[in-house]
Amino acid sequence: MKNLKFFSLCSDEYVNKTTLFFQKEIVLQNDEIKLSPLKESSIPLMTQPLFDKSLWAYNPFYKGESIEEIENFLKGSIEARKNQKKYPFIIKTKKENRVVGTTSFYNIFFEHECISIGWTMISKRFQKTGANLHNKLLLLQYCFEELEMKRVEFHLDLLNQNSFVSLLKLGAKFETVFRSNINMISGRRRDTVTMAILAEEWPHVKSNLIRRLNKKNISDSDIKLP
Amino acid sequence: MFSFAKNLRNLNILHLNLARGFSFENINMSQKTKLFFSKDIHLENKKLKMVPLKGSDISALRPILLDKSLWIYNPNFVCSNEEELKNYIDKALEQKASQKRYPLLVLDAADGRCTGTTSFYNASFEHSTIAIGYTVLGKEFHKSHVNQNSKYLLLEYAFEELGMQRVEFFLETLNQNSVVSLLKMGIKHEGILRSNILTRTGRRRDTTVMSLLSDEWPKVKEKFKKKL
Repeated sequence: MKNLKFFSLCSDEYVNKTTLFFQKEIVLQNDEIKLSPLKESSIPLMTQPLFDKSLWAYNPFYKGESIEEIENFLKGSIEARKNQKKYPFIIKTKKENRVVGTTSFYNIFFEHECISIGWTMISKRFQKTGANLHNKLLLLQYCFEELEMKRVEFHLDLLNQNSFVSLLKLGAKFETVFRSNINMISGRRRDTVTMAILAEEWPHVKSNLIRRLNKKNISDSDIKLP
Repeated sequence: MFSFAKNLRNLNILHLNLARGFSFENINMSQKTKLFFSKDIHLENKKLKMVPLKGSDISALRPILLDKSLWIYNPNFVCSNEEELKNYIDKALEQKASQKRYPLLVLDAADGRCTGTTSFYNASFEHSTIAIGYTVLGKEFHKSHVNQNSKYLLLEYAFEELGMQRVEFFLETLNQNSVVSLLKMGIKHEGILRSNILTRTGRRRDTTVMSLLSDEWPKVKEKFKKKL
């Protein structure tokens, strides 16, 4: 991770930053979880953990009602990395290699030092375990400390109050609601909340996150099996 | 940092559509987009006329747009000489070719005088949204009917011809004149994206987001009609 230094590039090569970013095999990990680039080969591992309607309720483009649709979503995400639109990850537990879910970088604009985090789905058994907090810590740390972004954005369905509250707790600031800006697959026109963390807010957000994580531990023994 | 920022100006940055993340544009919709950009859009009422911007329009724009004060809120461009203006027009036409922006020339309907330029951009037929912006009017037209009429014609076209559900505006937050004039027209202030654009001067800009939805259009239209 530390050898990632795009920033020595001279200015007229900056377009390459985007290309390099998408080519790079980004692996982010700590003692609890590991994020690695989503691959075609990991799709079979993910369909079961993601086969849960509640995870798809706010997805504008997929209903997640069948294994096939989930596969299509994941394949589409891998394709989107090739088109430099989205960089999808698979999240696993560090110790036992169990699939926690998926998350992505998207809207990556090196010219404006902005990036977005989203398309996150954490399988039910890892919800409220701290797994997503670890996930956010790793992603944000990478954005601000490695990529040196000035702004990290989150976009969410206005109806998705759980995510909204958890992002507020994280320290992301509410900025605006884009009213009626997406035609969802359900036919509903969605209102999209935009939230953001700026680089100068990161140290505070980070220490707060670490403090919260110290109270939690997501090792498998702590997870109540259904 | 400054030389870095300067180099970027060659690339256009229409990245404001981001609240959608990304989506897979389906073939049907990309046909609609293609059709939209291949159309010759002519908009006209008694006071104003808008036609597609062409390279040769530089002679009409030169006398009114070579004024630095018109460009202070433009994150990418300042036109203080003919070369910069030509570059600006070339970029606008390039963006039209790549289906990112549809630039228009704004003319006074009575005498055919050129008053400035404006654009549609971020057109998404998949989500029925479009943005209006890149408006630069000559100084003498600033407090005239021109901006009102041009917004009326653009909104009418967006809602009634294109069938859009949402028209959006992205403004430099410091540009309070424009924010206020849109508010007066009945366009809703949604919020502010903090520090989301690196401008040509190296300053990071806050962007105000405003919009009008199709169900709000009839009321706004009435208001326009009374005023115009």
